[in-house]
Amino acid sequence: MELHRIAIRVIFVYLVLLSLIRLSGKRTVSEGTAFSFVLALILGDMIDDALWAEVAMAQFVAAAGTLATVHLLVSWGASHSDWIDRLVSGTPALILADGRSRRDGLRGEQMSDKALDFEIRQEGVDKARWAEVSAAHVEASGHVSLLKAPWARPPQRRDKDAVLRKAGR
Amino acid sequence: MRAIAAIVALVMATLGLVAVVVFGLGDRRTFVSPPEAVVEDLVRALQCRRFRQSAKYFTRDARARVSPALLADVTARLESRIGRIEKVAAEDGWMAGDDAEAVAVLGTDQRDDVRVPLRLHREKGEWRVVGIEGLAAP
Repeated sequence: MELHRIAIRVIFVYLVLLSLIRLSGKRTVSEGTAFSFVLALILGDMIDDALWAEVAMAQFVAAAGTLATVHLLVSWGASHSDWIDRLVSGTPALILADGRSRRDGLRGEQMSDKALDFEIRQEGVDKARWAEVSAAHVEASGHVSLLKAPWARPPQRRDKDAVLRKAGR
Repeated sequence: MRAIAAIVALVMATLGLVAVVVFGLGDRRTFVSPPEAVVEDLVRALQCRRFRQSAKYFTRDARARVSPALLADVTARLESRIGRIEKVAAEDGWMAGDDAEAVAVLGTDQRDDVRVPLRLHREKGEWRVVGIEGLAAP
């Protein structure tokens, strides 16, 4: 297979995909929702077939265009309906509340205590300081987010103002 | 909704561009599967016993002549002669206008690679196999 034909196909596929992804919104391949993962997986397989000429380019364009359109319709549905959003993206799972792990949340995410320990540690909080965490969630993207208890948050300007008010200055 | 219209417009424009390249400029190898890719896919489908799905690799005329049962029979007879097909590849042969030939290279457990030439014809811009004579008597 001549190399220049592969180069032409690569450039063509790249431009088509770039245009489709730009048109379907910034969140299309944003980090790790189940939603964008499925899209990336299907597109990845399609590209392989197109680059090695296993399918005609017209078939690739039709398939990628259909996928982008369906993705956009689902995104539009998710942005207009909480029910569709929950269905395609899932909901955050509470895995730690007021410094204590939540069995039901961990079970739902197939997470062990060790994994929870690791995830919270990655956020800079070791097990001895779990009491500082008022809530930890596994977000729809798969990442863990922490909410610190008010007393454990770094002091803000408004805290200084409150202290000064209390002191009567 | 404007984004959907934009995507549909992009797809239509791109398909138009592909049509110009394939039908207007006569592209036979870049934006369409070249003959050797079609032959390789066909022989791979036969190797996997996907006889019904193999119909899409044939020209309209050939589809009328080549039934799944005939393909099964030809494949069985081919493997009884050369051994079970274990490896499939294809090489390009000649090309003249809307006709071409590509060579399927079959690797078996019993003998050296067997080379089977297959004729193709360009139909609606895409290469299609015109018959299975090559497979019947390699």
